[in-house]
This record gives sequence, C-alpha cells and structure tokens, in this order.
Amino acid sequence: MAKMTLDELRKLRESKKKELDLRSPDNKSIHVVVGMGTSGIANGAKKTLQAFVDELSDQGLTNVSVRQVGGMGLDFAEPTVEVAVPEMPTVIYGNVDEEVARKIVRKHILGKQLINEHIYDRPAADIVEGTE
Amino acid sequence: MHATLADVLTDIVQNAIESDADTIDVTVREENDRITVDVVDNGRGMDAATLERVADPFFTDGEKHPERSVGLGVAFLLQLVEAVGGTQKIISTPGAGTEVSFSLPGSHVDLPPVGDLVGSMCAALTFVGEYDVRIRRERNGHSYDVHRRDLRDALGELESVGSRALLYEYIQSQEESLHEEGGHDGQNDP
Repeated sequence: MAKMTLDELRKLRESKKKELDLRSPDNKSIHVVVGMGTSGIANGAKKTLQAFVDELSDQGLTNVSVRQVGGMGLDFAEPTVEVAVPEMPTVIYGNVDEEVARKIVRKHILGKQLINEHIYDRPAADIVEGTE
Repeated sequence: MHATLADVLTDIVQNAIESDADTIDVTVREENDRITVDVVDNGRGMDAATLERVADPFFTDGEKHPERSVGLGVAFLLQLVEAVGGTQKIISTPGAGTEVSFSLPGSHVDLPPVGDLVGSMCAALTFVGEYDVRIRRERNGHSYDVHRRDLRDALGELESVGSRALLYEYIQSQEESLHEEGGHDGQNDP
C-alpha cells in the first residue's frame, strides 16, 4: 500500500461519501459505544470494537456511529457496549466478544430485537422480557 | 496484564483523555532494540500523594466510578516494566498535566507482542470528547505524524464506520511505509 497523503484521504472520503449516503441514509442516529477502560482492554474490547466496525461495514451500515469511552463501571462484565437504536431502549450489553458483537449488529440493530442474555443495564425487566 | 503493548498504549492514552486534557502528545519509538513510549497531556494532573499511590492496583481517585476501589492501568504498566527490565517515568503537576514514559527492551523473552498498533492509534484518535491528539511514530530514524485535528478536517468526523475504515487505512499506509523505510523485523510488521 502506498503512503497516503491527507489530500488523498480527503478525496477518498468524498468519493466514498456519495456511495455511503446512498447505501445507508438513515443510520446516523444509531450509536454503538464500546467501553475501553483498563478492564475492557484486558478483556478484548479492541477486538470487540473491530468486530462491530467489520460487521457494520459488511452489512452496509457505514453511517452508524461507533465510539469509545472509558470503563462503564461494569468491570465484571467486560467488554461492555452501549447500543442506542431509535425506537428501542438504550441497552448496555456485557461480555461482548467478537461473536456477540456480530450478533448485536444482526439481531439488535438490523432485527430490532434485544439479546436478553447479554443485557447488563438500562431497560426495565418488563421491556427485556417483552422482546423475546 | 494486557496481552499486547498496543493495549498498554491505548490504556495510558485513555487515562490522559479522561484527565480532561485538551492536548495529548504521543510518541512511539522503536530504535536499537528498544521500544519507547511517551504520553504527555495537559490534563488536571496529580498531586504528590496521588502520584505515590498510582502503582497500587487497589487505589483509585474514585472520580470516574465512585464505588470502585481498583485502578489497574498504571499498575499493569509498572508490572510490565518490572517484568522485562524496562524503565519508566511518571511526572505530574496538579493543574498542568502528566507525562508517562516507558522504555522496554524489544527482544526480551517476556515482552508481549506489539499487537495492533494501528488499531491503538485509531483508538487514541476516536475516544468520545473534545481533545486533540498528536501521534509521532518513529522507527530506526524514520517517522510519520498523525494529528487528530487534521484527520477530522479531512474526514469530517471520525466516528462513523465509514470514517473509521478510512482512518485505519490511512494510518496503516503510514505504518507500512515506515516499515519499508526503516527495515522489517518480522513479527511486529503490519
């Protein structure tokens, strides 16, 4: 791979942007936040993050926002991930390895269903039970 | 303990970001079989009493998570430095910032692999918050720089999956070029 300049990066972004906007116009309000504190990193949060980016990209959801924060205070359940999808409860999932990350993309973000066995915080119990 | 040096880097940079720093300067240098990392921030810093306790894994300032009683990031780093006979320095001034530096022998048998350094640089650039990061990467006399402000300017934002993919591609191209210029050494090549 040739060394890319910032100008080349800017042009690449412009050319991709048109294509991306056509493919996923409505996904800017979907947010995935990965806890990347010490315990998250030690438990594989970086691989989890990359799995989200790869799966979202594979599914054509390239406008989804994927961000990192420090620990979410749930060290016993790392890696932890917050997922916010419009018209669904915001959820913190725990023990999210690469496989679970891909499942979250397919089932939660695309399928609009919660993955109950990995929920560690946020929605009330009746919401969780009512989704399966 | 972190599995790779890239994980250690992510952890130390994340500490700097969480210290409310506006600016963070990161240098990752490979030279003469030594790997040296400097992370300098202008965040809130630590007083002498706090600084004395950073090596204690059962100490945390309680600000991020009031009910938590451990702080493992620096403890992991110091454990690694001791395990491989490296050196480290932590200088901090309340209200002015903190400098964390460490240097490790590259061929020590117990040194973890470098790991996904490009991924760690991407992570340093994409944490939530308004801060600037300048990363300088040096290897055997060659170098490149990445600057969060420039990348945001080029990409518009750094959070979407599309931008992240381009960001990774960009830094990967810098890293590959650096390895071509500075010689290959096998397992740490991208």
